[in-house]
Amino acid sequence: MEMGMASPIKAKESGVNPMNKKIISLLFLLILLVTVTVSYAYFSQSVPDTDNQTNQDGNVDDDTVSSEIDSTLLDEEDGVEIGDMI
Amino acid sequence: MKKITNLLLVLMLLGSILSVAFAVQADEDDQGTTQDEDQDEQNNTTKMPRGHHYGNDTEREVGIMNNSLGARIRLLQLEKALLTNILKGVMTVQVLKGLNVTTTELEHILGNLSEVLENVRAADPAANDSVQVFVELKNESKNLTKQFRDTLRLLLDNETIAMIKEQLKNITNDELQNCSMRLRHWIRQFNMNQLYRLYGIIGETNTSLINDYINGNISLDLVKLQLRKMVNQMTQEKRHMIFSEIKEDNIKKKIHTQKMLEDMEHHGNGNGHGQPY
Repeated sequence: MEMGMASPIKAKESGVNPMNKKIISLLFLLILLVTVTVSYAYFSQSVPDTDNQTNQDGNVDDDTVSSEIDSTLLDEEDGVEIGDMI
Repeated sequence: MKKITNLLLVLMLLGSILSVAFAVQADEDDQGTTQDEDQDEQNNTTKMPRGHHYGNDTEREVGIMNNSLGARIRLLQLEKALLTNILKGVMTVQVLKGLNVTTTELEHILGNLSEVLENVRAADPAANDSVQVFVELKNESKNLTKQFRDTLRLLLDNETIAMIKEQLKNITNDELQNCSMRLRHWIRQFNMNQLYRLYGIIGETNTSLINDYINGNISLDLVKLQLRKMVNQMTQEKRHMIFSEIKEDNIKKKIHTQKMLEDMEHHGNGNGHGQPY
């Protein structure tokens, strides 16, 4: 008889009934879900606008300067395209 | 207890909506970037830039027409393209006559192309409306060329067309060669001006290199290589300064070109180009 009375008291003492456990689990799951989503959204939005023409130190690549210089000059083979007759 | 469960359910619902909202926003942003890139790619392939309906080719061509030298070069290039097409067209008509095919329509198109050629030759590169004239004549040339090509396809089978095409691959004549020589001369003059401007930014001038290029002793590729070597030997600060100045100039020129094309589209006239160089 004493043994039969002990288990609900123990459950009360531990302070967690099965329903509360479920709720707490769900809450943690929810927090986790929200955290992951917010983190994902934040990181995917805040991708820095990397300038391809300069490296991280702000230095300019040799190729970038050269291509910019090249673009100011006109190729002798350059022509106006009007299509082929045949 | 029921209240807590209900509250939790509401919280979960809110959380889910929030998550979905964030995810959708992130996805849209991502897709937006991709779409922009796709659009840019499409612009490059279909040659339809934003702001005006002219193609990328036209924008590039018109980009140097802010002075009479650039305008002269583009008009000469159009003249060369027309000369080449007319020459090929005339030869094609001759081949067709040999095959007893009626060529009346093709000859009519060739006549129209010759008229366009005369208009190109008569165009004044220093005129205020030189860009508009160039764009109009180029469009006309493209349309007539397409018309000729389409008509030819109705008259001949693919094999015969391929055979004629092969025969006319490297066709040339004195008039065409003369045009090419004039064109080369003006392009070199243009590049000489650009090189002096570049040397002005760099702060050093290699006159002998420019003279060698103008006289045809060295190619443009070699000039570019020399410039590259010169830039590579500079300090990072100086390189950055040169890059910034050139980039700024190029961007200004691009904006000016786009504005010019937009104005042309909306008002139907040129915009302060073709000034004497």
